[in-house]
Amino acid sequence: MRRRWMTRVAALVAAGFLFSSTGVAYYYFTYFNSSSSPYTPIPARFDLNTLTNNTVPFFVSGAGPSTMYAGDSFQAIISQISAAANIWNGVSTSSIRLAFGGLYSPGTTESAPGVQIEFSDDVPPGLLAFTTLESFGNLTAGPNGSFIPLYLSVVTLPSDLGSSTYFNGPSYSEEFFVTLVHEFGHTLGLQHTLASSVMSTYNTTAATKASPLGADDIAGISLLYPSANYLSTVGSISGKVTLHGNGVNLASVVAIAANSQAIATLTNPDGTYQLNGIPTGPSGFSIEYYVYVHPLPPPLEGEGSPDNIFFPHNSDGVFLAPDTGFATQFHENQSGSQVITVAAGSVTPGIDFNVAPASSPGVSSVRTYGYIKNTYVTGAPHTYVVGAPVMVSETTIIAANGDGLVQPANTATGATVLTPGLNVSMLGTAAQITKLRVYPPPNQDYIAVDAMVSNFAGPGPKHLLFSTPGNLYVLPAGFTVVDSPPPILSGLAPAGNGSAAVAIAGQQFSPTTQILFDGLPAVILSQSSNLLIVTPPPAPAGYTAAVAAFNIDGQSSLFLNPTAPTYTYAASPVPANPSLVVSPSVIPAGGSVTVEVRGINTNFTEGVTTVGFGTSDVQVNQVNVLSATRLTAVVSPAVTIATAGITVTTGLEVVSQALGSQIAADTQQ
Amino acid sequence: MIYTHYQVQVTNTYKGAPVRNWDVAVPGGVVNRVQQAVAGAPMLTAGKDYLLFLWTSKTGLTQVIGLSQGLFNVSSNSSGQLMVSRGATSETMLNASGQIMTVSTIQMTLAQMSSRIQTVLAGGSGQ
Repeated sequence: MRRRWMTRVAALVAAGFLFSSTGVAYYYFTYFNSSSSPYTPIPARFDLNTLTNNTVPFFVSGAGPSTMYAGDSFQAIISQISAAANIWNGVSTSSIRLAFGGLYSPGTTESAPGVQIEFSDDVPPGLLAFTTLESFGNLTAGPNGSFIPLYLSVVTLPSDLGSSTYFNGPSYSEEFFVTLVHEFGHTLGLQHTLASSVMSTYNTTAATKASPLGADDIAGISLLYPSANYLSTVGSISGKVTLHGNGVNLASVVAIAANSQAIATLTNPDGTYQLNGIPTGPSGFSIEYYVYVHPLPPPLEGEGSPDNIFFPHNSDGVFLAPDTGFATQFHENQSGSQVITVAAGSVTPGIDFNVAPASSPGVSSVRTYGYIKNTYVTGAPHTYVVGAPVMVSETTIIAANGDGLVQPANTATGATVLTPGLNVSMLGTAAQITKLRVYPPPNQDYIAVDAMVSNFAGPGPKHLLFSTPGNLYVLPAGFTVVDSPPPILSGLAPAGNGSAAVAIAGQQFSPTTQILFDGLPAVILSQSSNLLIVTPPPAPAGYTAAVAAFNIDGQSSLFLNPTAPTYTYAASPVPANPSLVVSPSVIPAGGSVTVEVRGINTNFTEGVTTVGFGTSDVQVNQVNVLSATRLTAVVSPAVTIATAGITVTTGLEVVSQALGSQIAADTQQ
Repeated sequence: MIYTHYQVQVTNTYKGAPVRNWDVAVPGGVVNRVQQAVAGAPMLTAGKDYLLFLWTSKTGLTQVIGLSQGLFNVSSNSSGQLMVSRGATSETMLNASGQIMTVSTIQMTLAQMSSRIQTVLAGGSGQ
């Protein structure tokens, strides 16, 4: 085990804001229209009224990465970026959507809202990626409160995607994908959270590629862009956090149940908060939660602020730093009960905390790993897996590292001991946590416990408690109970009979197993526990895709074998890269124009093929596929454009005229 | 991306060609009344001493590795020893009496840090 100090960052351009009116509280990029109480948070977000079909187009720099892992390709990276965007599109309670708008030339400026994905040589080692919210409008009133309209977000990825300086594996890896989902969350206006969800920092997230979004992510995006009736389907709690009678700024208030994911928000400068978006189950039901408050953790290596939070600022332009230095506290009512009942469409008020100063730094920023059996090879060693899956009815080692777990014991050997008084337990009764110990060098920064899971423990996230004298740290989703091991892929081959279908052999397949070819899902034709017959997504002839399986319990075939098997599509008799001929060559600004695209060696498919021009200033209203090599697109440009910048995407086939016909697969290294 | 450039006077070089000055770029800053703030980016203070782990990109931009990851404050302790520290030193922590106490994620003498750097550069294993 080697601890990787990797960071994902969000940045904000703060200039020219106006402040007034009301807003909603959450962990957003937040501004206050005053410098004293009462505080009304104003988030930065896209204005749905300025978007077509509530959709923000995102564009990928045609420059592409400078290096890639062996077997990786620019098409594969684009497909993974699109798949990460689609994760947010899958939130039914959120109105906002993302759509690939083609490749753009670096330096492109645009006036309509959009997201750009760029590759840079200037990302220093230690960062995986960062997102910059760059262009804003003036304060705007909305149906759910005022907001600062966001026009442009930029995700910066390292240009070097071919070495472990940044990502540990190719674009299909768990790490690359979860990072992209995280960055897209930033582009839409979400900040970091303390709920172990995808918007948590790298060190505390329990997100996996198979199940990236947590309840907190869903609440966060849904509250920022609520769909109709969303707010009536979830509950809220409100209250105030004080220390010595003074309001505590940026305290993290978390609602959590023993068998469900956590939801968190941060307090206002006067300590007030309202935690919204709490799931309550079907209409008329209510759910019981524990609610606790804890300080933002000290900044880790690579972090310049607690939890890498971009602090809110007030009408004086003052950034409001968090109040820390208090001990975690669970809420208790006057009768001593810690349980809070939350019902749909209502606010449970008075969930107040009078916190006490911390007497010790305590534990913070813990990342856990499940030590699971590698069933690929008989006799193979166990494997440490992020997300800490733990089998029901079994005893599994959970390894953890983080601040405050160990202390130096021998400077010569590097050996450590447990922090005095450290105890690890869990919220609820799903498992017994025993045998707390520290690893010897070279893994002396890690501790381990045995988790003996009850036969009656339901699947899903369970929460760990790390207590030290005078302090407590709660790690939501510290481990995840699963009913079966991760899926395994053991073989791929054409299914035969002249069809395009592919037979996939393996283990732990279920009716909900999803198969991805690079970033695109295959259609499952038949399924058993050890054999799948699928139709792969469209791709150019001879294209090679990485194949992986994903189960609904959050596990994937990449857990035990991070090197995915590949499948090569049948080659065409006459190898030729797809290319495009577009007319007219120039479209004037204004009005609506039909563009005709003739493809050479293309596979245009109705309902699958998309067209983009790499800028949000061109709206593609309709795409009509006339044949595999011919389509028309109805286009409304706000500026005069050369159609040479067109990108036509059909599954894994990405064709861009301006950027050298097809994005060549032979850029692999 | 806006970068703030710091002119750093070098007193000791552990790795790389010795130079008298470095231009160190930190993400974020102010240009034409537009402020860009990057969560996690360090802020250097004129006149203070630092131990920096630097990295120069292909474009020639020299940055601190991993934002704050490669930045250590250098200061003297009560015995006059030079100490390096990084982490939570800027965070306020209260003791049981409500008094402010100092907490640091990493703190050691400059001599200890130098020894570790030399060990790693010599091909040994750093802690």
